Amino acid sequence: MDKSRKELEAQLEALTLVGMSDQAEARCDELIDELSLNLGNQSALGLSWQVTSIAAAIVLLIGLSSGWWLGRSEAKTPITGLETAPEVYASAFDLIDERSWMQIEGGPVLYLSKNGEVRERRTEVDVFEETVLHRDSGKMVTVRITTRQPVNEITNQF
Amino acid sequence: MSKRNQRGPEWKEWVSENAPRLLAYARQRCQSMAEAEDILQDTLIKLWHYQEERDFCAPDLPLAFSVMRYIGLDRGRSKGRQERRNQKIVQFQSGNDLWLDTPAEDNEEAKLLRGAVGKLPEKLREVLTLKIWGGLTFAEIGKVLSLSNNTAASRYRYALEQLQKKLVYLKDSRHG
Repeated sequence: MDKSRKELEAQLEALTLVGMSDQAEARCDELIDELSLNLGNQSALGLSWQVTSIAAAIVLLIGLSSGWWLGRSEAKTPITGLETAPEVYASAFDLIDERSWMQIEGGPVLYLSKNGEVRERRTEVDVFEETVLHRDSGKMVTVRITTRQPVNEITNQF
Repeated sequence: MSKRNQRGPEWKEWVSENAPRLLAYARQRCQSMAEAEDILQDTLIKLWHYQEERDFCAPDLPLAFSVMRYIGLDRGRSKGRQERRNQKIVQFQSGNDLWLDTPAEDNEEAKLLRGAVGKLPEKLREVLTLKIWGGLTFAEIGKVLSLSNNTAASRYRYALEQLQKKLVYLKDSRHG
């Protein structure tokens, strides 16, 4: 690496990053306190406790005694082949938390197509996770739904 | 007292130490510092749950950046990518919501550099941020961004080249 590039890196490192605002710092501290006290799944997230029919329908089909991913300490077993159930059962459950994110499965693969294009192949996975509480039994159930989407596109980013 | 209860101080220290670099990265993916702070909080919640299997230990930085990236992507998708991208460009160039600060003994070159970093293409700026201020290796950057090590290194090199050219141009134009 030439000298000028090293100097540039040193100059960049000398630029200081803007820190958190006081309010954000206070909110983070509060959040960590709540997570530490196991409140993080509830009020700390600011999520509503409204019932969702999707989660409840899934839970009903699973059956609370089926051994699938119940509570925090029990074994987590993936579930498949879900169907929907009547919305009326939803009232038995409270939504505790819902999360969704996207991830890449494996590393993206670059290859040269027959047409001379540089293409990237990867699998994007959309994950939706929802935790509901069965009010009568106090059991928590977490449901995770993953959708895999193969992507194959021309890339010019190296 | 459970491990969960004991980890609070450790996490607070971790946040205090790493918040600026995490915010710098989050700032790449959103419109304002306030939104970056929201992303940081969402990231904390998700990391906390991820770390349950590791006795709630404070996470390592590459994992934090990865989670932050996916949260940023998720937010981007829900709000409409194109609209956000357009607004983000305006925000980055407005100069009213800085994420890099110049040193106390503020000098002209540092100001130029800060402006040039803000105008780098997003993909280059992302790698530069993770390398310079995130302190990650190219292998770690590759994992965070789902790139090969070589691609991460190339983008970094290209970002430095662009900055060098930009600085020369800006200095020449200022000094006539």
